[in-house]
Amino acid sequence: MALRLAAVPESAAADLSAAANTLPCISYRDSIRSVAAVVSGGRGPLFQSEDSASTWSSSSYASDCSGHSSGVSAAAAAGFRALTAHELREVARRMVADGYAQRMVQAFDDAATVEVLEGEVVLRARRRLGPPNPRGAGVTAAGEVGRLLPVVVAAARSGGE
Amino acid sequence: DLEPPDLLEIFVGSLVSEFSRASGSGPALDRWFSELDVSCVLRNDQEEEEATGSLVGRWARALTVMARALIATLQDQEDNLTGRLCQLGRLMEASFSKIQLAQFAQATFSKMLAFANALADKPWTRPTDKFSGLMQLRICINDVSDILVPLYNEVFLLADYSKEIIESIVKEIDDVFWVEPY
Repeated sequence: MALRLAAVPESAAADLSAAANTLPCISYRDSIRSVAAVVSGGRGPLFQSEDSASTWSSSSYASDCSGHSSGVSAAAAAGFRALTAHELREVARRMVADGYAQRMVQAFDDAATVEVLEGEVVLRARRRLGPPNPRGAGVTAAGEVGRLLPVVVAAARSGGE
Repeated sequence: DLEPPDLLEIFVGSLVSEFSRASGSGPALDRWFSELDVSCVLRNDQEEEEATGSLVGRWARALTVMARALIATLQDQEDNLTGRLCQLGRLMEASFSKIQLAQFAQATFSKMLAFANALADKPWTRPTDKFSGLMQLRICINDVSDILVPLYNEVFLLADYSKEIIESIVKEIDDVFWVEPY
């Protein structure tokens, strides 16, 4: 069952500020949520933790396990990803065709310009946006994956939790 | 129509503002993240929300749409500029539009990647849930890195500032999944 996204005509571009505040006739948010619902029927392979863990540990890390069932799970996961990627690409294309993405970029930049004109800006040394994340310090997603791998493999070999 | 000197003034003003902005957030980002179903990424109370597979799924879908939309916007900009302006005007307009896009992209991906790192610190119900969630994060970021290559190659050629912005994005992606060699 493919998700059909209706074409939305591009809105009048007379007032950029007003246009940036106008949501499209068909909400991108609803479309994105629909992608998840249609593709997974509420729960896809990647969201069923035990199946997903089994797929990863069997297919990627445990060379001694090459059963047919794990192959089927891996194929299902790959198909799920491909279909999801296709549907999300369509949402992104609609966003650009509607002019929504460009209006977001412009609104972001306009806000910056207004701040300059209002004299709120103080010159400071460049700094990164978002929280600092120095290499090697603190918890990172990759570090956690590395730490959890032995736990997951052990669980898979012992037949689950 | 703005003449080149005015464009340059706006351009410099934007750069100054970007450098000094505290959080990089604002109404545009709020609308953008809300429309992509990930308002939680911008909220301060994100620590209160338990990490779940569905949260990771929402994040991954949003990141994919963001990358696809921004790349397509870049391609649209290039198409629209063909044959419309004199050479100097075209170069200035192209430079301005792409740097705007790069700034917006950096703000967007910085927030998303900071959230991905935060997920590593959140409580998860079980280790297997956390493992599969983080693997999905990694797969999504790998896919998005591939999608963003054209943006990197294009903007890299324009200005040192753009180069730094894009390298910052790439570095932040690298930081999220950096592992100490052993």
